[in-house]
Amino acid sequence: MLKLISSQIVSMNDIEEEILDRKNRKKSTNMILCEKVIGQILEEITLSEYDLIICTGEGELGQTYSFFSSLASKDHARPIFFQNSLHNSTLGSVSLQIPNIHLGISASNGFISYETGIEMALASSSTKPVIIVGIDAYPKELLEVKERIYGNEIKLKSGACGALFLKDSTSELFKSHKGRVLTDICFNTHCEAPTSREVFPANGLEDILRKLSQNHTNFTVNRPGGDSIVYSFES
Amino acid sequence: MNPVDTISITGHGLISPAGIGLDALWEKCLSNNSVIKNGLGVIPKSDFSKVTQFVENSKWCKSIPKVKSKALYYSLFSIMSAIDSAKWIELNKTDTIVIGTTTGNLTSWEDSLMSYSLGDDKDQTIESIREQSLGQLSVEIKKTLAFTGKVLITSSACSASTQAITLAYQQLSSKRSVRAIVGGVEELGKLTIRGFGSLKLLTEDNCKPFDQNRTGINLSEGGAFFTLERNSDSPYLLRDGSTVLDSYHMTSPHPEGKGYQKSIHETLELSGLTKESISLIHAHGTGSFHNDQSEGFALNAIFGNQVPVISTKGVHGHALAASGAFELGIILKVLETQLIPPSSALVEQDQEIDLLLPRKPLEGKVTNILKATLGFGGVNSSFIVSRRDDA
Repeated sequence: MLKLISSQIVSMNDIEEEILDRKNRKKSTNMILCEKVIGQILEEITLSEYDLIICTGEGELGQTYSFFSSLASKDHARPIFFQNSLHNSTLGSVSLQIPNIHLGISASNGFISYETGIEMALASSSTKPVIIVGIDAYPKELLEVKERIYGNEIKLKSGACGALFLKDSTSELFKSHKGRVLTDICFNTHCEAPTSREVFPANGLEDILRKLSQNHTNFTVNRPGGDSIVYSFES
Repeated sequence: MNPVDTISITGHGLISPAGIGLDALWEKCLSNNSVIKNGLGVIPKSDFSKVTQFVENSKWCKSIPKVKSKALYYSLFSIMSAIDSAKWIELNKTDTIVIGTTTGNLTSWEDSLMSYSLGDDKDQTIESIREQSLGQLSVEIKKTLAFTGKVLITSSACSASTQAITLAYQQLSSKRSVRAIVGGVEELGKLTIRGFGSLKLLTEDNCKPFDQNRTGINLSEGGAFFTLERNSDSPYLLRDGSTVLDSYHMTSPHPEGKGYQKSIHETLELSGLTKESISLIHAHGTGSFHNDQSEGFALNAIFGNQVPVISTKGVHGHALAASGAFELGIILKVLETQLIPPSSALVEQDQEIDLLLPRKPLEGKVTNILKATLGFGGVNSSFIVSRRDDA
């Protein structure tokens, strides 16, 4: 089981200052978004050690585009764009900036990336607190391309969402914090297309928070791409 | 997990630059015969054609994939071969597929992204860019197999399939899945070849892991998948593993392998084994200066220099996310034959690496084998495979 203790949503507007900060010039937008969302979670609660699962549908799209753009126009492979293009570079970067991360996973699975991270956390034998972050950032050059690919129903945005879950029900931390307890998640395919709204592939947490705010405990979420996810929370 | 439950590896499927199937790779490892040419381990087109035919004629193929990417077909071939070898008769919703990959269907989209950056926005170009999302690999695997269970993807660079194997183990140990198919896949492309080249990590010579005169990495490609089942009578027991971050550097390992050591200690603790019970260590051993130095220090710090340590990347190259899965295949052959292949391409051992690196095949009782891997982003993963006492 996973007890949802704290959640944060970060938009591109929230990181305007950080993007302009020179100390972040070697970081991707994903990295800056991720640091922001984890920082906000850790402002609310102090953790001595925790696991981190970073979920992304597109990976480091901007860095990958920059790598290939340089390769195409100048036949030059730039090392910084390559190392930042790997899907887990955000995990690596964040681990240098924020202490106390133990287990690290970089999950990627299209529009069910966040749900994949939850599934991995539920199965994990670790009992440490786990922060699950969903993150995707679109460079302006590729936003329209991706919308053409995904079809007219989907309006894409960049952003991050993150939540802290506790696993060890015997711990003081678990007992002393209120939160909704997720007991199961089930994946189904072939659902109907969801209603149109702004999304990013790894924003599955936003669906969960919306349903919980409506006092649902057992609910189904239809994700873009055709997967439906069934959640079971303790009432 | 119920203490009497065991999780076993019951089937395998593999395609590597050494050829089709695990035996082809094993034969090359045992004879220390490198398949690297011009610094790369490339799967020949003729083998890709055979794999394509196998996939499209397999009873598991419910619809022919539209995307003809190497990564997809390496994955499908390995998955179908593993299921066949495990003698499964059907796939169920309670099964889970776990994949480790770095770049997914890379060569299906990288040229299109380059063309697009130069102004080509034809529909076909745009459609190819769809494949950039790693989730496409999972979508296409599900569709081809008509698979209704979960497909999970981890992308932790060179540690990806080593980590995936533990994630699959945990699917079974937590009883969130009844069976699992797990492995890794990688295809060579411009991103990885030019990217690693830009970091000055590649060599055009054959790589020499742990050698005094090592000059770098040989990239390679392929796929390897395994079936996992609970309480089977298979002789190969998989145990829980661990992943720990270095929090040190984006592309260089911690000089003393801080996270690597911690991962191994945790894996030993989770498996209930002592370091003295480890018969063999299959190291990451890429042939890069810093990797081998860090790994050598860390393994010596834990095990001293009495436990045999091998790297086989001098034979098959470094298949990045798929490397841990390739090497799990080799581990199964060691447990089956009780033969340890030589640590590949070793001529003159680095004097600063104080490990027992066999230069010729060793015979002996091999019971527990540790697999440990390092990756960019400071990701360190490890797991242990054991031969059942009564096997």
